Amino acid sequence: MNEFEQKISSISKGLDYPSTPDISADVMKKIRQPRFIPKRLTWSLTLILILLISLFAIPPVRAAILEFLQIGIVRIFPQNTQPLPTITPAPSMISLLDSVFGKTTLDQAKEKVDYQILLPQNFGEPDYVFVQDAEGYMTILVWMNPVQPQSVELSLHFIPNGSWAIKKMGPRVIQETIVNDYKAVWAVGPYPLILYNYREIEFTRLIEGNVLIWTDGTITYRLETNLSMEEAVEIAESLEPIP
Amino acid sequence: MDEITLIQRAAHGDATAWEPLMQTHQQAVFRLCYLLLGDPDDAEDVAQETFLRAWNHLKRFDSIRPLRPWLLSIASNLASNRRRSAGRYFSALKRAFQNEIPQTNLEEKELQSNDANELWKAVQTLNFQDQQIIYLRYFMDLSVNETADVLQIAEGTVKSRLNRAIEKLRNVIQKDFPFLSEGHEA
Repeated sequence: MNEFEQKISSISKGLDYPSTPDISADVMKKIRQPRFIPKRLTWSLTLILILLISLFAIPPVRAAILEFLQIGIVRIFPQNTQPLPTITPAPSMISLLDSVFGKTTLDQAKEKVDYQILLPQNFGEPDYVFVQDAEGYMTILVWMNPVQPQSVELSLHFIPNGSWAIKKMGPRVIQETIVNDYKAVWAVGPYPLILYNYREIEFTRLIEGNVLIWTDGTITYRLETNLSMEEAVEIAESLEPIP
Repeated sequence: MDEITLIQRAAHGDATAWEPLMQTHQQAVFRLCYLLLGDPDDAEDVAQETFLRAWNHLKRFDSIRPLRPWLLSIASNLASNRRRSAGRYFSALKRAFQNEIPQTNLEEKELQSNDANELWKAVQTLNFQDQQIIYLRYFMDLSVNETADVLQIAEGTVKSRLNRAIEKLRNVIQKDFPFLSEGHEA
């Protein structure tokens, strides 16, 4: 260290920090707290699961039930109706994200789309914002993982009605849930995601994780994360308009 | 019990092993958050979030590596997110109150009386990246190697970034805080 650096270091030692709160106690409470799932929802999920298991046992019913599941603009095909390509997210998503079409800023995105862009609490502004014209402006927000800054922690798609339909092929598990009283679907990958209109367009998924999909009637939301379903629902329910 | 054993036990879900690790590092994490955010409540929130995130990702952490730089790295990234979020909030306030920004309170004015706080104010005029490296290296006394670990960059990059940040700080001090460079100490 040169003289100036030594001086900076020495002066900084006089800084009057507030006393450190007992952070460990609060964190321990949160770690030990069982995750709250409303009893009614637990029963609903159990019933759905039992129903699905019994239906799956009867081949003709299974074929009819599993043809597809539609949430807003997203249509999910739980069975593999065609060979699935393997899509693995790159170890570093940053180079990929830098080349994704439609990169923009949050302010520009707000100007461009005619629906409200919502942000989850406690995530701050997204690290990447994309607006893509899919016969209706689709917005994609991406947050990088603070623990592993090269990987994506969360992505959130806003897909307006009238856009290209989105087809998902072969998620391993599908579970129904609720987001703000709206029916939602939790799909556990891996699966490729394909956007299509008259022609099929491949779309690389951003996270080696799972997807929560719900709609409020005009916008279909698609939240991609490697967190649990309960955490994804919490994030979905915390969405608020940008001030 | 040593840190490596505690980390390994915590990674297997033993919360009682995580508690002493948090107690060991909570002051450093809280202080870095406070330096970066300037508000004790925000700092406490982000410090808590840091330990929760670390707990959730412990399985992926190499227990042979020291824990502190990893925790500080998470804290620093979360603080950066929080600042952007706070920036959004202040922009909204600004629009709502036609550029009326809340005045500094008396407590802050009292704090401004010593050199360390003046130095902190000088550092706060720099960009986030420069602040981050100055806090880690000089305020928190991390070695170049540890700073590189926190920022996940090479040691050579730490040195060059430090040189640039220090040069900017020197200019700020000469211009706006000259008494700090004149050898005056509180």
